[in-house]
Amino acid sequence: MSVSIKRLLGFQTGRHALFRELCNHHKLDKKTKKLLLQIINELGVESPAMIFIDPQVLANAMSLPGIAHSVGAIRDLFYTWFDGSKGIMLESSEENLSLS
Amino acid sequence: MTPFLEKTIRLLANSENASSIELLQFLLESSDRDTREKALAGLYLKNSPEILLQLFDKIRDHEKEWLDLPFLTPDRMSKIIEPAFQSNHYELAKHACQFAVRNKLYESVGTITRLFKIHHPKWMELAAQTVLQLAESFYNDLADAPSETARRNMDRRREWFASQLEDSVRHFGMHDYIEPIKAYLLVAKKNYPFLINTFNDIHSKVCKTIIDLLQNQEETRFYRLLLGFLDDTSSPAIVDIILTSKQDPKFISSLLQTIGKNPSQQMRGALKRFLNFSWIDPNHENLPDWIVGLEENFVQLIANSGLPRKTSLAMFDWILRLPSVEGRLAAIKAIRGFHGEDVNNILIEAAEDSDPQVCSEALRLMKNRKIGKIDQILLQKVYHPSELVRRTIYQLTPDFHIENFFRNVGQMTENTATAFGKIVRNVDSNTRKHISQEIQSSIPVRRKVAMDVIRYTGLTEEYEDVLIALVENDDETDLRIEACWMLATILSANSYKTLQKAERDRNPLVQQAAIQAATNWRETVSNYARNV
Repeated sequence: MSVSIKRLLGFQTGRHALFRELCNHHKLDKKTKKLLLQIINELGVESPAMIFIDPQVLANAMSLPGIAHSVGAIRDLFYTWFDGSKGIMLESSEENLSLS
Repeated sequence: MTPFLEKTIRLLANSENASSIELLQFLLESSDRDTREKALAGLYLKNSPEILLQLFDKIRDHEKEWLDLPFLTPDRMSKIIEPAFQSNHYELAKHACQFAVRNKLYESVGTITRLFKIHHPKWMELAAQTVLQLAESFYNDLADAPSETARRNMDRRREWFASQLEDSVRHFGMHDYIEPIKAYLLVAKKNYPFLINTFNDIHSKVCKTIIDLLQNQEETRFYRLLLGFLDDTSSPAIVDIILTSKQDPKFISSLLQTIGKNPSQQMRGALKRFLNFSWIDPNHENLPDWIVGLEENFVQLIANSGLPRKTSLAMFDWILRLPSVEGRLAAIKAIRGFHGEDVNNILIEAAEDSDPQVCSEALRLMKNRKIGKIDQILLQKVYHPSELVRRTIYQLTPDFHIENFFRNVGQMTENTATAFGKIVRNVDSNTRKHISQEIQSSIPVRRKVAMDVIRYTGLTEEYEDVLIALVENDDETDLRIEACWMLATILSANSYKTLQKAERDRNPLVQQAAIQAATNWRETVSNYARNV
């Protein structure tokens, strides 16, 4: 559905607005928000809110060299948000990234 | 699905941000069933025709997989396909119609009937076929309802379903498609106001079409509606005309089954309003085949309807000639309510019926009515091979009971007593038992009467031993003499020996009787030998 149609239908547009809505909804702290934004920017994710529903985004983030210090935090988010035992394995760039 | 994801989807479902839609659409592809269902619910709640169309597209590609989700109730599914009918895309609407029929989305019927307003043959044809298919499916579901609760639920939906069809039925004159009318007849109950008003508007095109369908079509699924009026004294006049004039064998069979072998009080009362049925005619060549197995029901129809007396009796007479014993028995019982010379003639013929039950019933009715020839007929049947008939005759002829014979034999002439005796012997199975009791009585007069009864009932030979004992041992001279004379008629060696012995009896009168009896015995034997 195009944005114009959505506007016509009275929906609020703005992918970033949705991202903010979700952050507030889940009561994320500033540090986490900052981390998420960093991931989104470095991966070039078009729709920021996708990070909340697509585990692949966090999995891909593990291979970002700039995020190495936050690998633990990312892993925590991954397992909490998406129940990481269900198929996707996380490995950081140091641990030879692989997905199974 | 994690609590986090669930919470996320909840926000997306309620968010007014347009971007939430693409996220929910992404989640529709999830491998997790719960996630897909929640995403579907979220998109459904957006209440956007465009989104609903997209959902329909997705669902019909993998129908089974999606329709397994609890969220997709028929109600919601009907709402999802609704934009397809309003889209002006014929192929899409056609897919939606087929989808509705396949999945029994009865809730769509109202939307589909509105396609008639498009006034294009292609669209109206599509709507017509679809509503009829949905109604046929609904009809089958009504019949298959597994419980009383399910039936009540179906009844509520039925009323709603029928109401959705009313518009397209009412406007039949404009679109000329008969399918909505057929659909309505499949679903409607007889007490729906729209139906009643239609029946009462006999000049309208709709009413005429309905009458034509009910009267002339051999559509068994319409029978339920028609026969629902059978026990209803307030049924529309036109319906009563159809009920009495429809000559379709399957309908007649259903009608008779509805009446049953033992109709309710309400049914009996309601049938009185029917004064004629076009197919009730003893000369109707197909009638025997049409009522096979339902003869008793047919008798109930004749007996309880308002047919002219002449017709009823003619039909009872006709039924009494059918192979069905149950039918004949039902007819003879139903005749109880009729009287007159013509009825008597029917009964006289029925008394010759090969079935013992029918015969017995006819005899009873005749005896109760004191029909002139009844005693003669009863006597003719004394030797009937059926024990049931003989028992009936016994019950109907107290004069021929052994106790009464014992009581009255003294006042009868020889000829009368002999004639009665033979009948009593065959009518009353207690004859021998009673004689045996009386012949052992300590009272000489009773023993004498017993000996007379033995003679009149033709049982002398059977009581040879008793008679021998009487000759030899009885205290009464008269009884010994009588016994001698009776032994003279039994051509056996034992009888003759007893008579010879009695020639030396202590009493001279007995001696004399024995001598004469023995002479008679010898003469009888010689005559017998000569004739042989």
